[in-house]
Amino acid sequence: MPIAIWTPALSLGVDSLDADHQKLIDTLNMVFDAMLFDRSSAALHSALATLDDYVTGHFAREEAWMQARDHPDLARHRQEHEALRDQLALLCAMSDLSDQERSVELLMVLRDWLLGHIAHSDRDASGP
Amino acid sequence: MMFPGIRRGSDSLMARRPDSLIHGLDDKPRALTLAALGLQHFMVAAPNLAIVVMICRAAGVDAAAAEGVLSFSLIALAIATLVQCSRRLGSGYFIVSCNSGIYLSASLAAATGGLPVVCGMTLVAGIFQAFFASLLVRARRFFPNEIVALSIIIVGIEIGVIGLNRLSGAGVPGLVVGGATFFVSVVFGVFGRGRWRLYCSLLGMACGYLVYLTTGIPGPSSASDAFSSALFGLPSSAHLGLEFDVGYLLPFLFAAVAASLKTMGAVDICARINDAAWVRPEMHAIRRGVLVDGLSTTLSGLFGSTGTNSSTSSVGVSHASGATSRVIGIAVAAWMLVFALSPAFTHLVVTLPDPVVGGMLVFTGCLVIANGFQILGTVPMDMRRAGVVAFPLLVAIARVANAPLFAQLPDSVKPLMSSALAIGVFAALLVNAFLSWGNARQATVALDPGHPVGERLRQVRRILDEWNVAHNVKVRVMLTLRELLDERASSLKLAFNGCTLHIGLTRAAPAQDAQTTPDGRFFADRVSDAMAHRKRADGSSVISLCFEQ
Repeated sequence: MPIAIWTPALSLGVDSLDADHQKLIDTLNMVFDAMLFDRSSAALHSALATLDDYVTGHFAREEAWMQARDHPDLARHRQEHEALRDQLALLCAMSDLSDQERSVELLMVLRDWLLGHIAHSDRDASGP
Repeated sequence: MMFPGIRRGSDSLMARRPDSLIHGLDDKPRALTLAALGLQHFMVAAPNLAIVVMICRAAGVDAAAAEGVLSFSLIALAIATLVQCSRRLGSGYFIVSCNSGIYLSASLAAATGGLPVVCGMTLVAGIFQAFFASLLVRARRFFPNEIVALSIIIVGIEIGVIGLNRLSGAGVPGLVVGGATFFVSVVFGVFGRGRWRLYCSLLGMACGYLVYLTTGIPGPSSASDAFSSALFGLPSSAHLGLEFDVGYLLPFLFAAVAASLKTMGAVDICARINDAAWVRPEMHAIRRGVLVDGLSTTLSGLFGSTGTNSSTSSVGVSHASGATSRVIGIAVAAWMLVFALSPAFTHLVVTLPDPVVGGMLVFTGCLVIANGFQILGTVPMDMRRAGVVAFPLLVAIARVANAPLFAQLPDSVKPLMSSALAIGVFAALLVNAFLSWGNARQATVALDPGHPVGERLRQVRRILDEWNVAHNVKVRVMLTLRELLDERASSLKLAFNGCTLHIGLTRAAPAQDAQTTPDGRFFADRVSDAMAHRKRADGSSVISLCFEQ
């Protein structure tokens, strides 16, 4: 049961960055599906690995894209990326939680990421 | 839109298409494929026209008038199938309407008063079912998934047993023909790829027919008449008429309840077949499906025919062939209209050799039983639910096996007990009502803002574990509460009736100087089945949530 669908309204107009954002939504749906079918453990580890790649590759691509456009919000954007990296690191360190509880926490992080960063900061950065 | 750019994806439109489907719900097969698939499903549902013929004979209707009844019956079924497949008006799934054996015993009893009585009471049953559709959703706790699964399993057993009886009527050669039909259908359904799997049922019937031609089993007596009938002709309406007899009301109303549950199960099966990530029943699709089924029976009564229902055999063939496109419904309806206007073809189809029809019914019966068990597999089984399934199933099998017990019942009760489905569902409703007595659970959890959210969630989780709430509901509740439990959350009320979990979350009024932030409801809105927000005069608020199991 996909709970979120990417729409063109989220598009930054850059195919590679849009694909990254779609991948994030796919990850959110995958983690939720796995929880429903009691397969949290495998999905969680796969999602964390995906996000680990994401915070290096995607963030670097996005920052380079903004730099190329001399975007005034680049510094703030970098701060947001750093905060998201910290959130992910915190999540990886939560060893006292069960995989299902960590999956719930991961979904909350992804939600905030999606609503706060992609739907607002990234869209603002892409301009009108 | 609350969250710009991120569309909600939890409705059926966003269901995940299973890899096994060749023609999914929204696909449009090519014209030839469509025609062949439509014919296959018509052939699967067509043997049920024998029920109409049987009732006509019991009502003393002559052969010419019976042909008119058949034609009008097909027209009603064509309209019902079209509406049922429509996403706006019906369930939106490819479900073929057919004349139903559920109404057989009640109709045979009413046939002693003549065909108009059968039609009049069928009309009443249809109207009752249409009203029952909305009740079914509101009173769903009386019709939980285990009862839906049970009704599907019993229907599968009934279909399979009818099939076995039909193929064994012609002795050993009949068994060979039926066995060949069944075996070929299974082989193409399981091992076939592409179009070979699509037409597994038709191929099975074709092979069975070829074997039949070599056995020398005498053909149906009226098969030769088909060739002397006109190819096309307008049906006679001489049989139309309605009469009512209150004496038959109860059996017809009970059949309508059983028909509703069967359609409920059929829609549920379709939802499962079309969505690899199926989690819970789509109650709106089920309501519309049952409503259309009721209207179909109403129309059939008006058209001078007998009760109708969703063809679970056809649903089984859809599953086996991997073709569930709703467009196939249009092709089926077209074939129904063609045959309605062609007495020769109609005759030919309904006079298919018994062993071939029997073999095909055994095949579809097996598929329907398997679908029933699939639904049962989603139910978290405990002693109460096991009781709701086990005893009624035992009674239904005893009915199918004609246990002597039923012969000893008073005559007034016999019509109610004549169908395994009716008696099985009736027993299940009684057992469910009895075993659910005192089963409703309630709990109130005081939420101390000092406690971490994780601890509060674990507390709720323990309660849901104790109540044996389904896993998917627990996951959705955890995610929702993780989102909604903040420092303002003061108390949580939980109520579970064995089917639906209600949650009431009370939140304190925001502090005067607090910055007003919108409630985070991204997940709550998407994973709950209903959500309402009510503000109180003192500034506090209650968020009511509902989760269907």
